[in-house]
Amino acid sequence: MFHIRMSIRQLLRTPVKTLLFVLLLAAVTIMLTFGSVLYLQARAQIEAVEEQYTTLGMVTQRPSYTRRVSCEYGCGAQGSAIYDVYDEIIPIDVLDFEGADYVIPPEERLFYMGQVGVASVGIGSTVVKSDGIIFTSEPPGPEDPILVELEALKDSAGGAPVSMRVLRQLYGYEWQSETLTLCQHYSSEPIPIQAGERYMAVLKMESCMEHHIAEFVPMPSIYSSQYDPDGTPAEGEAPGFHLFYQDGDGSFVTSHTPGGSPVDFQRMGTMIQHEDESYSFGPWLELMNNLRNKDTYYPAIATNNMDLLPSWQAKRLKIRDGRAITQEEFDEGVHVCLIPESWNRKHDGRDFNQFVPGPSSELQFSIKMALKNYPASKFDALGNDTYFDPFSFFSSEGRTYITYAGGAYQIVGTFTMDLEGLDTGDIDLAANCMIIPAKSLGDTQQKNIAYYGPMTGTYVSFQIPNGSISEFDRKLHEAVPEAELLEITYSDNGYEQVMPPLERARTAALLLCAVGAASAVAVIILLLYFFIIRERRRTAIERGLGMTKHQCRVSLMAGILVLALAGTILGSRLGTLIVGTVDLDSDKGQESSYSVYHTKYSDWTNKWNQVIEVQDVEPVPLQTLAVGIPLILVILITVLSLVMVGFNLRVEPVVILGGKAGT
Amino acid sequence: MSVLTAENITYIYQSKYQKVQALTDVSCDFEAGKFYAIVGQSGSGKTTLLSMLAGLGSPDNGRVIAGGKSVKDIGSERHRRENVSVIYQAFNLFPQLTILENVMYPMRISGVSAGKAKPRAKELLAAVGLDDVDERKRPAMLSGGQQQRVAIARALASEAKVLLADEPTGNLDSENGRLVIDLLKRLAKEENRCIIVVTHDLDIAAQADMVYRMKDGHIAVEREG
Repeated sequence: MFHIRMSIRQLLRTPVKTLLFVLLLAAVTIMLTFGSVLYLQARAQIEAVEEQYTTLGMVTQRPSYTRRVSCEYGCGAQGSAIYDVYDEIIPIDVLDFEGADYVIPPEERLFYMGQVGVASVGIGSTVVKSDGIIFTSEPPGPEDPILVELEALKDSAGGAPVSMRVLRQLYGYEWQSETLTLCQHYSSEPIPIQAGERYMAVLKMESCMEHHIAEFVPMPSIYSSQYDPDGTPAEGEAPGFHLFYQDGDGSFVTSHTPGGSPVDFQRMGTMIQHEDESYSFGPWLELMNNLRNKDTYYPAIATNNMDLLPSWQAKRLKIRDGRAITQEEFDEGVHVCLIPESWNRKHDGRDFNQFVPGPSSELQFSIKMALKNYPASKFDALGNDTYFDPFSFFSSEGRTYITYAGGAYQIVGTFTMDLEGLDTGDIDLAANCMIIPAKSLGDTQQKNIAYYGPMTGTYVSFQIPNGSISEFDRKLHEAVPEAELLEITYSDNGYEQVMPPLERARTAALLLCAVGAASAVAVIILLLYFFIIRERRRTAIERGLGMTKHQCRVSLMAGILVLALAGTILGSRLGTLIVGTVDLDSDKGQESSYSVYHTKYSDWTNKWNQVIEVQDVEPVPLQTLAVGIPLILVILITVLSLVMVGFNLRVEPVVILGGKAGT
Repeated sequence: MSVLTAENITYIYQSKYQKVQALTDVSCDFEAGKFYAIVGQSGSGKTTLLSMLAGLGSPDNGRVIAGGKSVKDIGSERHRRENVSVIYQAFNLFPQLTILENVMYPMRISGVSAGKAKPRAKELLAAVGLDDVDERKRPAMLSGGQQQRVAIARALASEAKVLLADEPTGNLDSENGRLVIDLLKRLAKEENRCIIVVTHDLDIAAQADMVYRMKDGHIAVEREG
């Protein structure tokens, strides 16, 4: 042991040299520790961002042009509408081009309208079974249309206002008077009214500017909005009305004005039916039932992947209770669903007042129709003060659609939607909309299409790798001629703004580590030179005095190790302190917030401006680094020192000890 | 009585570029209580012979015998601890240790406790005429002659019977050189040690009891008595 003491004593008797090397070792340890912490932290954040951020592309077909149509009606009424015109319907297949690199390929989602019943609801341990419709219609209010059977009190030709007696009211807020004034001023071909004849119509009350009276005007009633799968309006018995239709020139036209306009009414055909026209109550009774049950119909959006929903991607849609639908359930078309959390607030006081997600909670979803690219915002207007709905419950054959798909769907979770700051056109889910796997519908997806529109970004979307927007957009425009008519909106949650600073931080950290490593190499080389190579004479003297090679080795190594331990431990502690003072919180779970504000490709995402919380960032193992880096340096110094000492011991002492003093 | 014997030693020195036969069949004998000088020109092999006698190298042929046993059997490190001590032209003291610690070093290597080694070291320093020098001084603070006397004191600390000196006066002025040689002669006579000095100084050789001459790796007795 004495030779170890002597070795350390000799070390301490060169304090300047010793202290210098301790500080140099400490400095490189600090650089390596700090650099490693910064690198691991940046890498963890980058991994978390890569995992939690996605890049969504949303596709909208731009109209080829717009045109304005104006007309004048009777009673001084005027109307106009702006129509979007599309020279062609661009199919989603154009997005399948060579060179396209999708994480999730493009999907065109449909809404499915159906009535919702309860198969079973779990309330704690009690299961309540019911086949009843769980959502009932609100009673009609004064703003709702009325369905009435009338008798004309006078003749009227050319659509002039005429008094009618109300024989009976089939639907609507009860009209208290026995008579009303009927005016057909919206009809381009008003039917002649004959006194004493009976008529059936859906009416709404308006103030007539010309006659200064309250008039009842026939509204669109029994019509069909059914489409064929290729987007052309279906022909059939019922008068057709289609917001998106093919005009005489072969172009496709859609109304720009929500809910249609008075101009549209002119194409509705018969809105009031005379008993002589093969009069039958059948269609009117169906209409009455449709009006009564309108708000028992709820939409469901069918998708193959939650990550394609813009609201989900932007974190506006969140699971409240239960869980999300798994990808496996989407892939296998399992009958599961997510329901709006608002449904739980809807039925307080009933015998089941809470949808508890779980195996014992099932909905019976009876699907009647499909809506393609239908604006979600219009669902909130169903059954409200809009007299005219963009789609009809009547098929082209003039009969109410019957159930063709659906079944029992287990409720796996409830969700909430944050719509703050969004325009109606940006909403992809109605507040009362369910979410179901598209494959749960099998081959029935393209039946009973009651609405059809061109590609809209809220319903046509795809996912591409993060950071690939520019490249994808370039390839798309090179490969797809129709891309000029497509407006692709990219939403990456701010990835391309968040990532570069993180990558720069990672690079800087790597550089710091590299500099630290290079410095460590230099310091170690100097250490070996000054404390081993320059100590050959000492070793030779010790051997000359009879110390064994092992003792000589230990004597030299003791000093080196004391230096190495002192320097690296000091550096490790100082490095840890520095990490702590810059508040890296390396030992705690990281949460970082980044603003989503990506306007490079679209102003649409400007509105989302969500703060994305990156969660579950892998904490930096600070203590492991604080121990590991010094340990690695000490081991490296030890190994190299042993090698160099071995070289020292191979030299015959006489070679070194001979000669003049000082050599 | 022979305390150290070299028997037919041959040593070939292998450098990077050449092979040199430094010693060829060298045999010589050394007795306690005598002062020997090994003389010869530079490159004659005298320092190499000293190294072999000190166990600082292994001969390619032949052997070195100390106290009736081969150094190879004893082990060179033990041989250097117990049988021989070496002093060098360049002193070869530990620069960072005090002169007292330098003298204590061989005793501590042999396992002597610090408590026993310290007073003995002081005695040895006094024996070489350094009792008036502060023992806490480091070698660089002393003159050449004083440093060499410290080296001699260190050499004596191991109680070895044989003291090997390689050009001990090479870095000293004549006065200090004389003092060192006188000290060595006194050690041989008074303490019955075998003193073997390698030198090219004929004046020193003249004071030896026996002189060996080395030439081209061969040894011959130049003068006996």
